Amino acid sequence: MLLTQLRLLWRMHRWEGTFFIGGALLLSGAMAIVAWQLDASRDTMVACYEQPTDALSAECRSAIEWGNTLAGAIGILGAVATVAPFAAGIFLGAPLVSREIEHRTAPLAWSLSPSRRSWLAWRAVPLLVLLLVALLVLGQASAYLLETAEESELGFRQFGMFGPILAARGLAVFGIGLLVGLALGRVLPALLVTALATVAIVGGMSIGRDLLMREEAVWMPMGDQAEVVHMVFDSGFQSDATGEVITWEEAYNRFPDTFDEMTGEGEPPGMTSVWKVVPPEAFGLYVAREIGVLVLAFVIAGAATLALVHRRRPE
Amino acid sequence: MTWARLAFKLQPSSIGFAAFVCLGLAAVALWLAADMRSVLEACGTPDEPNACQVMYAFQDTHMNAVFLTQTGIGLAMYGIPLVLGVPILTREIEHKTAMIAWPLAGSRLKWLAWRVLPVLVVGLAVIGVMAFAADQLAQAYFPHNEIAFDRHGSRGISLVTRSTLMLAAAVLLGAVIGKLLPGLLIGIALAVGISTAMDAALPHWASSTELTGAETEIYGPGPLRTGAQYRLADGRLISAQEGEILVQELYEENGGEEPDPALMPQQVMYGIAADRYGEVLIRESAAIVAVTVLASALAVAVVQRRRPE
Repeated sequence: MLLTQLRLLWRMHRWEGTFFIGGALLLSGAMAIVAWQLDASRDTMVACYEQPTDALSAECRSAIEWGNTLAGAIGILGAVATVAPFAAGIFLGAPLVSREIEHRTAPLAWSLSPSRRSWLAWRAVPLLVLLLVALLVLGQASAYLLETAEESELGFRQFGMFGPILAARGLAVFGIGLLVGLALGRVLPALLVTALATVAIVGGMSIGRDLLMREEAVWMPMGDQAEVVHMVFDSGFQSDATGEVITWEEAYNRFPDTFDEMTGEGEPPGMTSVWKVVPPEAFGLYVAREIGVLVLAFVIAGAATLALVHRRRPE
Repeated sequence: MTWARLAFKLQPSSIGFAAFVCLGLAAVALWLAADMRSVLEACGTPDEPNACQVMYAFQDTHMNAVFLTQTGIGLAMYGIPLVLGVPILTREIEHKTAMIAWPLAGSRLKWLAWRVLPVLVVGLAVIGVMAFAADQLAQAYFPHNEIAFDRHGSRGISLVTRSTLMLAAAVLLGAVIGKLLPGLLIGIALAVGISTAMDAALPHWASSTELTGAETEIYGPGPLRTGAQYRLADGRLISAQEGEILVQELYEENGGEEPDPALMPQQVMYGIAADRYGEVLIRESAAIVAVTVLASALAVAVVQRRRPE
């Protein structure tokens, strides 16, 4: 019985299932291979760059070219991995129920099933589990690739490009697609409305995150943090004695002699250059918050879907 | 009006979506362009903004909004033809209405024309507005330069021709596959293929030459840069990588100070000059129109021969 249900489900969604779940796993494999090659060729590249130009061997030229190809692949694979959860959520979630309603197979299926909710659970849960597993694998592969490429800890600069947030995004969009598909009952409109809702979610989350970061930014000394902080919301000089922060303009006016006339570089005595940024340690908190919001969106959409499926007219 | 109404009645969701997205993006692009141009009105006054002088006039103020809008337009130019083109035939085949419509129509070609032409007209109208707005946005972002190859393919005529090709390919795909979801999924891959092929073909529409004057800059709008080399003091050319290593070595030998300019290799940029943009655009457009006609002919052939189930 269980196997028959699963086989039937796969037959119904084999196109989008193969495309997105298989695609996510293939992408993960490609990312892992690029990361491994990048790691393996790094020592050779460093040795090549230490050679005099005239003696650059054919092997070195080929290694440098291969390194450039791998560097180009990182950008493409990263971009695809960022978009994949949204696309997978839209194409797997929106048609799941809408197709059955549009093709008028839903009335028969609903009448044969003990309850519409259990019918919906049989349709959605196996696909959702596969999607989550594929996106979790993709998130890990993406993290491995980015860590290998950056040679440093990942943070705000790579926000939303790796880790479990990819699965959370797919989960939320899948839930919304399911709800929209059930409400509209037609595949194409459901896909289009879910796509628009996804754009709104992405934009809203991005604006919300930016506002929160501005709100929670603190003054930190410039320097070692330069590579890990993502957004600098303000900059100035902080008094070592009182902690007071003054702007660059104020510092130029009050201590004109401490700045180089040509380069503008310098630091007033007893003061430290500071940036207003979100500390890199807060990255985990931001990821957890966003995952929380996405899971909440899925739960709300899921609850609305369960309520709606019970009441919907089967045409 | 009748055509527009008919087209809308046939595909209300696709056309509504296309109009909403294209006109929405066009409105944002035109508003951004007007906003950037309004900043330049203060040029020549005592409060002249920095934007009056520098090439990247709006990098600090408008870059993110312009980038997001241009990304949206870049996706919509393929996405909209896809959602307009694929369902035209897949819906009729999937819902089995083609079995009735084709015998009743007398001629399948006429039936296809009645289905495709209204969608094509409405689609091209909204895409045309978006292409115009994208062109205005690109020009406003670089107010002091001839933009030429900058954003080529995602603004103006080049956007319209690529979108038309995508629409013809989407109709063909719908006719061949006969199912909406697989058609859309393969269409996404096809759109990536068309975009990549167009970008790869671009440098081949005219021969690359050594760029001169301001066009030798590595960045900025104008020419299509296809490669770089370094010229040694004795006139020999070496690759960009070798040149960069050599420059690094010269600096190291000189203890980090600037080496003797006579020893330094000079960078040579190759590409297609901005004033040849029109020539490239005509050649590319002609090729795209030819491929579009071919795809349309194939779609007609498939519809003529296809079994209606």
